[in-house]
Amino acid sequence: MVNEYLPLNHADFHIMLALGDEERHGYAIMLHVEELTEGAVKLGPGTLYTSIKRLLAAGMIEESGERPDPEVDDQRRRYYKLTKLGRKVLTAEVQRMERMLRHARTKRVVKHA
Amino acid sequence: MRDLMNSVEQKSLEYSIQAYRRMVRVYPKQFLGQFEEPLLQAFGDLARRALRSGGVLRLILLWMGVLRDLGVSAIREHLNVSPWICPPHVRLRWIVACMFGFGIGGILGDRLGMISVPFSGQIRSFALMVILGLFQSAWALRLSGKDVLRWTLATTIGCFALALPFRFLLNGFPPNRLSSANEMVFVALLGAGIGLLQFLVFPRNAVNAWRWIPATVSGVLGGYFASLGLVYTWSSLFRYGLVLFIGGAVLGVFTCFSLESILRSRGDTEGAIES
Repeated sequence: MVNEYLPLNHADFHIMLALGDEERHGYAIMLHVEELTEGAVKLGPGTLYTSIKRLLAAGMIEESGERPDPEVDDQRRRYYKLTKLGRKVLTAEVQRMERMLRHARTKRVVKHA
Repeated sequence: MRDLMNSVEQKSLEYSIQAYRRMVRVYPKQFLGQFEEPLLQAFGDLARRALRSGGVLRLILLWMGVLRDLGVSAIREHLNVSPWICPPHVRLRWIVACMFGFGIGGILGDRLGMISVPFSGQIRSFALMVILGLFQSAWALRLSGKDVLRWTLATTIGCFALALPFRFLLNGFPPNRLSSANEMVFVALLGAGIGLLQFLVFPRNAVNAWRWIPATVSGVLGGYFASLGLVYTWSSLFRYGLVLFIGGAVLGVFTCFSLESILRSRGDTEGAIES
């Protein structure tokens, strides 16, 4: 069942990865992706929210009911988190990437870390 | 990173957000309804960060990326929007109902010996429209929650209310075969009659008469003449039946599109249609 969603597209994968450890709002996801990829991937607002829409519809992420302290952050912000399905799909995608990496190493395309 | 912005930067920020607010209208309405506010918020955050870290020049660079992002994601979103809300089996039921309604109704009308032109205004062609209405009702009317009798009566009376006076006006009584130009007007009026009366018993669509009625007119007109042209050289009974079946299917497609558009504009969901 999880395999139906694989492979994830680039933006979906990064968004789900950003939500892997904690709930984040849209702008925080953009910043996290940029930081995690050392600036190599910059999600624009359009790409971000069209992906979020798709992931919500697929049941891989959901809006978090909790709102931040108004003194800390804007209460209108929507926070997102991974669902159980989303976490399974993300894990499966990472495992798929690992397998690909292993194949690449056996072919000596990349060196061992 | 600086915390304060000078007045030029403040103005640039305001103009940028205003411009972005206008530009996001390129996204489908359905998407905007859900994400307009977060989109603007995210853009505002990005613009603020750009101004604080590199001033107006950085903002210009941000805009270059944002424009590309906006264009690409809007096109993708438009391509991803399904033209349909109704589940496939409901659409199929609707189209088949129209097809059989016209087809069987027309053939029965013909066997009753009354018509040289489909949908003729003679009294016995009443059967045609009764059956059309009946099939639409029985198979498709769960969409509106209205009962079979009202829908059937609306279809039947609608056909006669506009089309029959036109025929009488041109041919006297009983009406004979019409010239092709008059026939077109007759069929269009027939569609308008069906659409108008169906609309009146379809209260869910009370604000959408201008979509439903043109869909019925163009469906009847387009279906009738397109199919007539297609099968003009075939044997008369077979041709006649085929004309009616194809015409009904075209009517079904047109009205189904209209129904979809109505439901979409009302923000109904798939579940709401079936309930």
